[in-house]
Amino acid sequence: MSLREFLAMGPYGGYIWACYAVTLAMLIFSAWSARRSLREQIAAARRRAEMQKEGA
Amino acid sequence: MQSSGLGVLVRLVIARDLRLAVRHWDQVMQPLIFFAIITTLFPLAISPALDELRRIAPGVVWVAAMLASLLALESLFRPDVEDGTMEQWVLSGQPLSLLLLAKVVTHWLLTGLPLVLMSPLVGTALGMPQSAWPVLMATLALGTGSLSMLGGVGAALTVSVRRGSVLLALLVLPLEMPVLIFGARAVDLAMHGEPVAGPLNLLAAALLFFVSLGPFAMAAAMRVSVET
Amino acid sequence: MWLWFHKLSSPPYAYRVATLLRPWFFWSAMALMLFAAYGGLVLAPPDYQQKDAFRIIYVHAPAAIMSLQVYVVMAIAAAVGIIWRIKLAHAVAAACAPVGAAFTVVALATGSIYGKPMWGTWWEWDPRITSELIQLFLYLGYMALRASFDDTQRADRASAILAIVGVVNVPIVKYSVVWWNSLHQAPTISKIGKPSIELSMAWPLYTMLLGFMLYFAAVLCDRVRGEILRRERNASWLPETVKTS
Repeated sequence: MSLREFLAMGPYGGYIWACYAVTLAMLIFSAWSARRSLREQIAAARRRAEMQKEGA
Repeated sequence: MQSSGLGVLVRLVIARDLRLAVRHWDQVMQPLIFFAIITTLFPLAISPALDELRRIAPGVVWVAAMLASLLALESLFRPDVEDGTMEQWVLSGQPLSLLLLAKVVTHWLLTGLPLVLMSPLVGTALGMPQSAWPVLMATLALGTGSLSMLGGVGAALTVSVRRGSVLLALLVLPLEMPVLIFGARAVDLAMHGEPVAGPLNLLAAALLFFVSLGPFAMAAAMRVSVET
Repeated sequence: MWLWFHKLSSPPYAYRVATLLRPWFFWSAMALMLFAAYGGLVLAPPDYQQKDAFRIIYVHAPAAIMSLQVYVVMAIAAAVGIIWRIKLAHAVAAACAPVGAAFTVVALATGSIYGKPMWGTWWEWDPRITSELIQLFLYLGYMALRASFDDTQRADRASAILAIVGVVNVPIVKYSVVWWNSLHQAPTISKIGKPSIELSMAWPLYTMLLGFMLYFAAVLCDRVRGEILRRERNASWLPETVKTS
């Protein structure tokens, strides 16, 4: 089976790859979003620790 | 002594709410007028032909009932929370779930029951045959009960949220969707002369379910909202 | 065992555990998902009736299962939080919602795309699709309710009540295909008795589901860590820990 045939998946290629793409996009977004909010919290906590040290 | 005490309590709450409602007739009428107006929108928007309206009549009546019930929920708890009565109730040591259930029952008497009585008129205006009236009223009676209970839980959760009416709708409407599905479907079946026992029983079961568990959820939610 | 559970309810300990476990969860999830995708797209034979379109089920079904499973985890965490007053349980519940919503969106989107070649339509109001849509609304409503409270404690308790009330939708979604004649096919994975499809076609689905579960655990680790940092902002253990984070 050639690569072209494989990608085409009979008449369904568009649908199948669209589904996998949507899933992949969501997985990436979800993980990235969680990571980003964590990093924000860590940065905020570090800033607070700095300010406390300076205050003390 | 305990059980008669609770009975008196419930009756007092219902009597109080009914008396307050009588003093503010206009506020009680508003959701009902809203109900009528909503159903009027559909012939204007879709088609005045009764044949076409007849097909969507069950759904339209039910959606209008849901929206009207939602609107009426605003006045279920907010006045009491705002003037501090609810706080007293929470602190009173009386079973809050029972007090709130009494309020919801009154709310249903003032909102749900009138909707049930209005529904044949509204249905007829949308082309519904007289044969469907009993099922229409039965499903709405059972359904609006569930709507009041679910709405009560949502109202208790959002009563302390600023401008929480839209949030209330967002929370309550998805939970009410199964009730809508079965209620509208039952009326539709009745219009085609088919047996309605299935959906009707489901509506009754749902109502029993919500009435038995709802008050506790409402009380828990109210404590969260009212306690500072 | 109970001692470990009790330790886990202490925020600094939970924070450290989550930090350690996350990479394990994440990378094993990646491996499983990749393997499952390869299995589903290449190795598994095409279906007799649906031909290659069947391959969509390898992402659609696991996503749908996760959308329900995450909600159950969220509801249980919320219940634990409210009954035993464990703050961390509320943090877990809050962390679940965004991921659960994401899985629900994937389930609905892939389902819609799957429906076009199979049923000829992008959307149908059959019981399972409708109740899954309700599931999405429940997640969004939960997040909206949380956001509307400034006080974390009140947000926790109010949203916990909502989560518990909403759990009734989960069996409706799951059993909708059993209770009603709907467009949807009968459950692919049945708990009792043999699965209705052959193992050579079923294994990528199970593998993908396992991958999704580990992925969920990984994302949960990150989000719970973030929640802990936000809630415990004034705690004494914070400055040291975040320096090395």
